[in-house]
Amino acid sequence: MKPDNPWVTIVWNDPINLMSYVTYVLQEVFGYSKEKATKLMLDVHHKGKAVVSSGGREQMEFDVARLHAHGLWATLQQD
Amino acid sequence: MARPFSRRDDRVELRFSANEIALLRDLTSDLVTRLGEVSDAEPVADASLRRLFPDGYNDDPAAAAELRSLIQDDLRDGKLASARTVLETLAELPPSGRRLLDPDQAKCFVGTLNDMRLAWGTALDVTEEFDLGTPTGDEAVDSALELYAYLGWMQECLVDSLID
Repeated sequence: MKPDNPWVTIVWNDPINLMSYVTYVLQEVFGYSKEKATKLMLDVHHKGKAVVSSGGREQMEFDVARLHAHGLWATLQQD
Repeated sequence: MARPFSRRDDRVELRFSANEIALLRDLTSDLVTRLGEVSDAEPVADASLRRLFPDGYNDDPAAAAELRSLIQDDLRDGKLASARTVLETLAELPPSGRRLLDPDQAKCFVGTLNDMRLAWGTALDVTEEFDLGTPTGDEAVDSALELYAYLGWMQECLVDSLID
């Protein structure tokens, strides 16, 4: 566990969200490049989940709230 | 079938038939009614809407409840505002059913289409392996699945237009 970065936001796979939409949301919410967003989306799709951001607990709660606002299934937890 | 959304330079053009306008209006009105019943902080009673308001913590019910009490009202109000913008935009469409959307309107449409699909997909219990083309034999379920697939196609057209 890294003491300076102890929390992560995770996006979980679900059967409803379109792959293109998940990529779009990750670009929209985090400003990620299309390449990075696509890689994370594929991780979600194939591995069932992906860490999409890390940082302090409050920041991760904010990220989770923004992902929920876009309909993604996201949680935070300690790394 | 004409694409309901397409890219025009850096904008999204909406092009709906009268049937599509009526369908989207009915579905969006229904979503507004149901979202209006979501409380500020309590877990969502409407089972098919729960996927729109998931727990923020998987293994910590107390932390999940606390986060819910902090964010659920804004989450609901944001989804309601998007759905209302969709309704206003549909109400103001010219007889041609065509208009350019500004970026905020396009985001409201993509969010509302997604919320509808989350609610329908949850109610229909769709899975990753689901084959939308295979009839189940239940007429009501099949027509709901057809509608769900159609909304997915509509959303895909819009996402394509947004990330072009």
